Amino acid sequence: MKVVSIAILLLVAGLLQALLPAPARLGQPAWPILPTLVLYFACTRERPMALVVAVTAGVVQDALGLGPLGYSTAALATLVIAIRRYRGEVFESEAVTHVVLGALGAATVTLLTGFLLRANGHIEVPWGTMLVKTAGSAVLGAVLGPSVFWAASRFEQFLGLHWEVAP
Amino acid sequence: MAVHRGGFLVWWVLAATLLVLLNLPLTWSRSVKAGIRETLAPLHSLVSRVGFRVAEAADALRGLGGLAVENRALQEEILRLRAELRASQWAVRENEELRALVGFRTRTTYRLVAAEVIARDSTGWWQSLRLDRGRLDGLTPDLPVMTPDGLAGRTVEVSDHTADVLLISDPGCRVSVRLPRTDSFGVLRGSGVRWDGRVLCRVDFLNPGHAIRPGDEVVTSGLGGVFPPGLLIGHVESVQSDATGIHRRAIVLPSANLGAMRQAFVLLLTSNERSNTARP
Repeated sequence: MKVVSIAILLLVAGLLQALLPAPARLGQPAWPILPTLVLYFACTRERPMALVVAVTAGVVQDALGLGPLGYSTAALATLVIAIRRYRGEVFESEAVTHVVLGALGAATVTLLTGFLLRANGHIEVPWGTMLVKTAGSAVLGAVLGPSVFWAASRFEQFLGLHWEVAP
Repeated sequence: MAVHRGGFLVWWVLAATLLVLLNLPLTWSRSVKAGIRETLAPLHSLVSRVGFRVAEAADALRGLGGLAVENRALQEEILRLRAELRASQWAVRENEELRALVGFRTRTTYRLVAAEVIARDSTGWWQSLRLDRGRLDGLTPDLPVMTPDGLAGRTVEVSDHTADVLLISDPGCRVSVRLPRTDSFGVLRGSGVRWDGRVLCRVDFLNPGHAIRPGDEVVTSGLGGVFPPGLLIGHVESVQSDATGIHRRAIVLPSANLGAMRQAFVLLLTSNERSNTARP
């Protein structure tokens, strides 16, 4: 059931991320729903499961874009590793924490993915645009953080799965 | 010790997975991407159609009072367009007769495939969208994609039921263009979307001796082998010198509303038609 819930959440996140229009005023970043969902699993699951989710989410995100596979996976796995390392120091089940985590997580993934794609010649985006997009992504991540944490936890509670912060 | 071994195993598996993903052969990578797109395509299609219907219903409710006025305006528009169509048909016939007289080959009428936009780029790094038509509808990579207002882009990745379109607003999309009024040639590339939502492109390598003005029409030149000649792209908004001072650069506002596209038409070109695009 746990695997099914993860699969459904990833599917819905991938679906919404490809449908929501990117806000032009924020530099046109994609809504970071998959990265925020990966953050949720990084905070609530053991590291191996969180990394499996990161790899799967990365493959889904890359498959729905025009780039090669692996770049988003690398960025999301880095995010999980960082969160698992510092989670004990910063994470508490509070909305403010989710806002900060959402912003930092989305910005990290956007910057890392953009840097990797640019360095390998897959995109032609000026550095200034990349920074604006990263900042825009942080804003969207801050908005999405509490919502995604709330929705994912409610969904798991609905399915009868016990939700708690993994030790 | 067991924990350390488990931790090492996690690192090892993660590194191996990343290496495999990053070095996946192109055909395998395309298969994986196509599989995921095909899985999500029906859901994307369903959700986007529901969204369109809701938006249409909201528009209808908002515009209920103005329907009679709009109806009258549309009837006038139909009359005007019918008159223009008759004149155009006569001009086309005359043109074909004249071309036959001087020995030019007859222009091809391209087959169009209508498609609906079901998704947009989910990474934020490309100006692209996904159509609900694919290989089974005859689509291949590098086909021109149009809207009724003008050129939108070209197909890049095609699966059985979906096709990804790289829009002309993407900096990676380049189109050989012509400005018919001055007969100038240049290369158009996307400049992305400005903070106010305006989509802009720019034409580089324009001859500084040509008096290009704001409002000049920009069409495809037919060079380059992807786009046939004469497809409307947009109009010049401003003209400036490039960094070298040798050429001029024009900022172009695309005619197609790329930010709000719901439908598109893909031009099915055969390889023969592609190779002949630059001929008169």
